[in-house]
Parts: sequence; C-alpha cells; structure tokens
Amino acid sequence: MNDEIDHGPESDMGSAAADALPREWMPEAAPPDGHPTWDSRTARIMVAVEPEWARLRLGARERAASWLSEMGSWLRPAAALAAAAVALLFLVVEPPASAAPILTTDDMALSLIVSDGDPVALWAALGVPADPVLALLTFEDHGAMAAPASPTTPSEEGIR
Amino acid sequence: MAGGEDSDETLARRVQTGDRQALERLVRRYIRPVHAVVASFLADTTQVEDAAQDTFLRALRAIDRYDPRRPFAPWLYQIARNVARNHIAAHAVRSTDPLPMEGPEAREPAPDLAAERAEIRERVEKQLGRLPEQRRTAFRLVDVDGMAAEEAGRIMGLSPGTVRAHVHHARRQLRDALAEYAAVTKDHGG
Repeated sequence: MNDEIDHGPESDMGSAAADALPREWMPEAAPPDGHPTWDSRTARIMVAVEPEWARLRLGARERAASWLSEMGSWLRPAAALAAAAVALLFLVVEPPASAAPILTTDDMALSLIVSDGDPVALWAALGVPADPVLALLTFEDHGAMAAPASPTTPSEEGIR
Repeated sequence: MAGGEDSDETLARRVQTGDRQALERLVRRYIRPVHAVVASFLADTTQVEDAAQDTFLRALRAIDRYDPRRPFAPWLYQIARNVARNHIAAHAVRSTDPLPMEGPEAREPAPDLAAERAEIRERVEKQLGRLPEQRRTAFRLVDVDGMAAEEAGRIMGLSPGTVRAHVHHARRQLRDALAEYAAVTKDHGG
C-alpha cells in the first residue's frame, strides 16, 4: 500500500528527504487518488447520508410551502386593507371644482339675452365682476373670434 | 482540481439548492483528505472510517449555514477536526495513552525485523498523538499521505510555508522521541 504513494517532486518528502523519517516508520498511508477503494467509500457515504438528504430536502420544501402560506395569510388582509383605502379615497375626496366657467358661444348668446346687452351684467351673470369698459372690449373680441361669419356683434348693433 | 471543473464553492451552492450529484462530487473530491485529517487524530481504522462518514453527514446537515463566498475546504476541515475530537472523547483517548518508558536497550532484541518495525510504527503513532493538532495533521497529509504542502495548506486554511514549518517541527519532534530506535534500526540494517 505504501508503495502506491507517489512522493514525487511536488511532495515535500522529496524536497527534504534528509529531514524526513524513514518510510517504514510511518503509519500506513491512505490509497492514492483514483484507487477503487475511494469509489466504494464514496458510495457507502452516499448511502449513509441518504436519509439525511431526504430529510433536508423535505424540510426545505416544507419551509418553502410554509413561507408561501405565511405570505398568503399576510397578503390577504393587506390586499383587503388596500382596497378599502382606495374606496375611501373615492368617497371622501371630491374632484376639484373648476376655477372659472368655460364659456361657449351658445352660453354667451343666452347670457347676452339674460343680461339685456349689458356686458357688465353679462359677466356678472357668469360670476365675474368686470370693469364696464374692459367687459365691453373683451366681449367684442370674443364675439369677433367666435362668430367670424357674422360681422355684426350685439354691441355694434347697440352702438348703431 | 482540473481546469474547467466546478469549484468546491459552486458545488456546495448547488448542494444547498438540492443537487444530489453535486454532493456526490464533493464527497468524491474530499473523501481522501477527510480520511487523512481524521486519521491524524484516530488510530483505529474503523474509527477513521466512521469519523470520515460522520464528517460528510455533519457537513450536509450544516450546508445551509455554509457561506459559498468562503473557501469550502477549510470549512470541511474544521468539521472533520471536530468530528475526530468527538470520536476521541467518545472512545479511548490516544494522546493520553501512557508510553512505555523503557528504551530499546531494556527490552529483548526483536527476533524479527518486521515485528520491530511494527513496534516502531506503534510508537510513532503514539508520538504523533502527542504532537500539537495542526502539526500532526500537516505531518499526516504531507509526509504520510504524500500531499503537496500547497494542497495541504488549501485544505487546512494555512499557507504552504506554515504547513512546511509544521511538518518540519513534527519530523524533528518525532526524530528526537525516536532517536534510540534510529540506532537500533541502523544496527538491524533497516
């Protein structure tokens, strides 16, 4: 068995042969790498660890399953809570009111009738306090843009 | 380890994920060094076999706690040491066995050289048991099992220089303890 051990140049036995003890004094060396005895010992160890291997794999699967179920039990109430929060948000928060009314040509015409041709009254009817001169100018500009086909604005008609 | 082969750490990581083949490859790769390590603690062959098997079993149990960023060999070596120590505690403690105090001159000359060599080996085994742990393991790996200092150092987590120093001190210590046998062996032509 001892003869199978290669004490070649990479071994420290060779580099310090004078220092080394006589080989026959040494305890019996293990068989070298690749010896069939290592195959049989490996096989024996694999058989011996098999129950432990199975137990570990089973334990890992159980841990994974319990982790998922724990996550599920935590996620369900969390999801319900989130849904309730979103619903509450819709109930409590109203959409912001627009700062100023958007005027259309039709609105303008109807308001004009109501205001009896008075631009200040017209703007007042729309909730906008207006200077009489500026109100008139604004109204004329708007009328000119909104109805280019009609060259006569109500204010012009009034002037005539 | 040949080029292109998976590293120990890669294999250990695969064992952690449930790869049985990786486990077998690690066992195959380390069975000889593990045997050598536990043999540096235990004299009995059966105990060595049991301890080697136990080492892999415990390594498997602890594999989830192994950090693959750290070298695998010293981690396994520590387990092997602990297992061997436990075996020593559980069985007869070799290092505390009393050595026969009489020298070679006080005993009958050995009728047979082989018998005498066997006796010397037994004495070497006992002296080995008295060496400090790392010195003993380094001696076992390098001088007995013919491992290179670099490989022994990789397994023990030491530099090759430290391993060589351990081996050197072990040789000197053993030589000093067995000086009288050296003379006898010379007389017998051994």
